[in-house]
Amino acid sequence: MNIYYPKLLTSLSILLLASNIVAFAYFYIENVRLREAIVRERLRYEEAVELYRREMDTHIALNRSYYEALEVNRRLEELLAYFRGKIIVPCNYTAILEAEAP
Amino acid sequence: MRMSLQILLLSTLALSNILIAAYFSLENRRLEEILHREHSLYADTITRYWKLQDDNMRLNISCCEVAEANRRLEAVLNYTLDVLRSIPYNYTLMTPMEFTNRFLFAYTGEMKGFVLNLTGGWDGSEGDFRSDLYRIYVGWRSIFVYVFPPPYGDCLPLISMGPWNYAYTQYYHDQYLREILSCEVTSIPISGASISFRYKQGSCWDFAVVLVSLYYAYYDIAGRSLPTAYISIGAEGVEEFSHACVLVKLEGDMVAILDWEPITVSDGMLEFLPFDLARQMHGRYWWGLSILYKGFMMGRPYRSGSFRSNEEFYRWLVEELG
Repeated sequence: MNIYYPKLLTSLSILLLASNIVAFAYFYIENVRLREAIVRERLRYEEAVELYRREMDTHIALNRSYYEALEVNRRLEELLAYFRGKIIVPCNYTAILEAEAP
Repeated sequence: MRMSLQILLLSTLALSNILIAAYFSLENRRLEEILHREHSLYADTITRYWKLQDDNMRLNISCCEVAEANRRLEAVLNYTLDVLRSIPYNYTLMTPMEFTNRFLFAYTGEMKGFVLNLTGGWDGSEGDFRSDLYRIYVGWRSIFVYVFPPPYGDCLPLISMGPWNYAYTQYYHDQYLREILSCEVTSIPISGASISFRYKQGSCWDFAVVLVSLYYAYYDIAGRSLPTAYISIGAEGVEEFSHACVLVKLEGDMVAILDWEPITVSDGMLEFLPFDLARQMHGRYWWGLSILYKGFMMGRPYRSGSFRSNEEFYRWLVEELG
């Protein structure tokens, strides 16, 4: 039995070394993949932030135009309401009637 | 000795194996969490971006809708202004109510001259005041000819704007004026004391309105006035009976009523009698009908109203007319 111990230990050592290498390689590759994914995600996030910012600028401009248009609409409504249903009366209407008297 | 070294090596390898696994597991889990967090940030931002994009699309549609409505309204406004610019005389714009207010009982210089000619002005006595009121009535009645329908057809231009359509914007749900379906200048028939006086013809409406106006002219000449109103009347149980007369109030419920004939008059002057008595005399004039006093119009300032019963009319006469 003593004769096989060294061989067994050597084999075990080799196995453990191999397992160490495989584990390290696996975890390292996974680690690198994750780090790259994080960088990519950060880039995508920055792009999204930029898109959002630009869209927000558009939103602000549109909002301003919208309220301006609405204000113009209210002023037009007021003006038209002033004219609506009004009789156009000559300034000296009573005098005109008198002058036209039969 | 060699074996001990081998066991030490084995132990070291096993430990390093465990350490590698433990370290990377923890590290990768940390990275996964960071990745997840970064992804959440991205997903949240991109979702907000999409929502904002959608909002902008709807906001843009709303903007375009309101701008389009404004263009339509501007066209209506420009048309109205063009029409007004093309009117060759100076004018004022009034609502029909304002027009009635200013014009219904307005008298002309000719009417004032007519009154002055009939009365010669007021000498300051009560008798002269009442006889002047009677003289005015007689003078107007003697030249007025009953014609129905009235012969005049005076019209004035009216800015008529068709139905106003309102709508709500898609995005903020604000109400706005979307369109005015039609805008045109039409003619509106007008009437008033000065027109009726000009023709000296018409219905009971014309006769009563002019008489009220002539009285107002006299009050201005005399510097004394009594509450005077155009009164529309009906008769109990006679639906088709609709007529107009003039009522002058002295004080309390003392009134004088002038119909086609003067109802309350004696010795060539208006006589003021308690309302009940005047009403009975008025009924007798109309072949015994029970007269209903249904409404009134008066000037200075213009006001009008209607009554559901003679009791309501009486309350108005005593409490409000003055």
